[in-house]
Amino acid sequence: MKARNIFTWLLALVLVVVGSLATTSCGPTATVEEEKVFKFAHLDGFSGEAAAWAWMSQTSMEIAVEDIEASGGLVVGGERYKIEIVKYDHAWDPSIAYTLAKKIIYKDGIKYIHVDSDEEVLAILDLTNQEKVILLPICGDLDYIDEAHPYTWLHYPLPLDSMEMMFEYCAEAHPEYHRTIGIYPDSAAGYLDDEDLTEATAHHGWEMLDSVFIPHGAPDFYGTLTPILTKEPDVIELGLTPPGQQAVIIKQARELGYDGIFMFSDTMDVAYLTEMCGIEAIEGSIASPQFVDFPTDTGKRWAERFTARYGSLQGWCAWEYDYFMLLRKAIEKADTFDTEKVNEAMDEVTFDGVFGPTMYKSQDERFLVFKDGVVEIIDGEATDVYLAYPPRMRD
Amino acid sequence: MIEQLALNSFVLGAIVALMSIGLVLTFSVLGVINYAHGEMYMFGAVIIFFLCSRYAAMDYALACVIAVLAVGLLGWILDKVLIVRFHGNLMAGVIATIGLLMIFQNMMWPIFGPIPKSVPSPLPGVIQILGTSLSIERIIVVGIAVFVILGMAWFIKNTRMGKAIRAVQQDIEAARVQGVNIEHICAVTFGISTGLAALAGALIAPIYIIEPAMGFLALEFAFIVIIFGGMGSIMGAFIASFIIGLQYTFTAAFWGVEWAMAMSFGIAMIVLLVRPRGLMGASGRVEEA
Repeated sequence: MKARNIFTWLLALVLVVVGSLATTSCGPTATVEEEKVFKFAHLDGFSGEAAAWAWMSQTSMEIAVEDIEASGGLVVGGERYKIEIVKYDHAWDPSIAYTLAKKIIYKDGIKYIHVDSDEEVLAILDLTNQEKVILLPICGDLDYIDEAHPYTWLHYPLPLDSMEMMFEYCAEAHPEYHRTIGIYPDSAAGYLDDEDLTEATAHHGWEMLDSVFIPHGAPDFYGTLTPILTKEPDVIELGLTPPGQQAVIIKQARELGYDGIFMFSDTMDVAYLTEMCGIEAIEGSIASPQFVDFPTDTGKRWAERFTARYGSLQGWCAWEYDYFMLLRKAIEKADTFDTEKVNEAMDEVTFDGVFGPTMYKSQDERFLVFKDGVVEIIDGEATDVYLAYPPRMRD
Repeated sequence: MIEQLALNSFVLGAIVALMSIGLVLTFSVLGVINYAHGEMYMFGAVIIFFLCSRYAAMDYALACVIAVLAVGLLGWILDKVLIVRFHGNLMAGVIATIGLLMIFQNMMWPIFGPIPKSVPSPLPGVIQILGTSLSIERIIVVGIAVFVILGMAWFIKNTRMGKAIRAVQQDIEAARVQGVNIEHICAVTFGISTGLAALAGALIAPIYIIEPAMGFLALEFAFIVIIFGGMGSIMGAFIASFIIGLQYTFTAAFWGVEWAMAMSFGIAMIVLLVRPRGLMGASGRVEEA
């Protein structure tokens, strides 16, 4: 009796499910067209000590998508596509980045990827180029866009660009600075950053006192800072260290009596560092790429919306907006999502972006051409102090 | 410079001692290696963040007391509900506590958010001793940690509850025959252990950055210390904590922080090869079984 009841219920359930499916497939809803979607992968460290960077990039891209949708949407082959940014968290682990890149490409079928930063770019670079996936990385070396990687397009300044800008500014405004120490993540990106700082200090006649490499997750820096501060640096370069570690380093360096400034060759999250260590701890510090005011209406609008949405202005993310707009134009020019054709169109489009007209240089030099900015904390306020093309873009 | 490095090594040693003594108690009394111990440390720091920075501007000392009591109570409940099923069963206990580690950490990400945080220093500033800047906050951390550890030692040696804990640690069956309520003692021990980890997290909250994954590094240190000091030995863990603190700080200062943890693990490996029982290895409940 009990078994028969169960059978009856199961049969009823099957009938309901089959009936529902039949009704759905035959009814009027079947005539409703599915919205066409263009998926873009944002592969970034959405968790961990540098998670802030990922969320900043995401915010800027979302603003770009809103503007694209508001201006008629992405139109390919006469059809409008809704843009969906799909987030993938590599948690700053290159092996996770590689696994996720395979999922993005082979399982989810996405052919356009934004990735941050060097370690993760290195992990997926060959795979993306082999599969003709357009890769838009935040990374610190022109090797990533060499002839072996024709599907990679750089939109972000190299640390060397930013260092050159800051050294040029210091030569004008702070000639008293000339002794520096670099603190970097113990990673490929960190060692590249060290090479850049060594090159820039030599070029500008500064003295490089020491280089220190800190492992991912290290929570305390008294042991590291105590001996290096005896060398009396004027400037400590914090470059690519994650914001969480930067905050602790700044706090502890001040406790240990350091009265020089900090230099950030990969931008500075002023709001975060102010909250973590107090504005007085970063007074006089300089950062690039960094912007407070934007020279164009597009830039001003972007800055207002970014600030409203994220809670503070992170000027470096403006490039994510610009390159997204350029990507839209390249796809529409190619009139296809075929990455071979879109890739050919990438350097043929321009956009009046947040810094003015913007475009990629060429198929051989696949980087955005832009003016880079330097900001200094003066009397507790982030202030624009220098704006110019980085040396490698001046020709 | 040496004074500053020494003070810093004492801070690290004190925090690791609080962590590892709790872990030693859990192992030697319950026969469980608690992989979720680092999450209790994280809870301590996160509670301080929420009480002193995010939702309120509570007095730091009061917040520390709340953090210790709350996490201690959580430990007591966890033992009553879950851990009790794994007493003396090392492998099952490891699996269960790894599960807890993952649950607690993943649960905390959406609550805490992905961006690391810090809390304002309750005692900012430095004092100058013989031309050396010493952080007041760090001196206080060392003082509190040492005071609590000595207090724990006194508690275990002199109180009725402490004697019962020692009795269970030494011979569970004999303790049961003597009328000791084993389940109660185990739950209290687990609560004390998690409370100590929470205290370590609460003390370190204004000094280090706070994030849901912060417990893992602290747990690594605690394991190194337990191997070095000897499984089940509170005194061994105490001494080893300060030795590892010195080693880590001075290696970071003179050889590079990237080598500091590697060398700590190197010491643990050498101890395992040369003297598997560690500095003062005592027999735990599992070893006797």
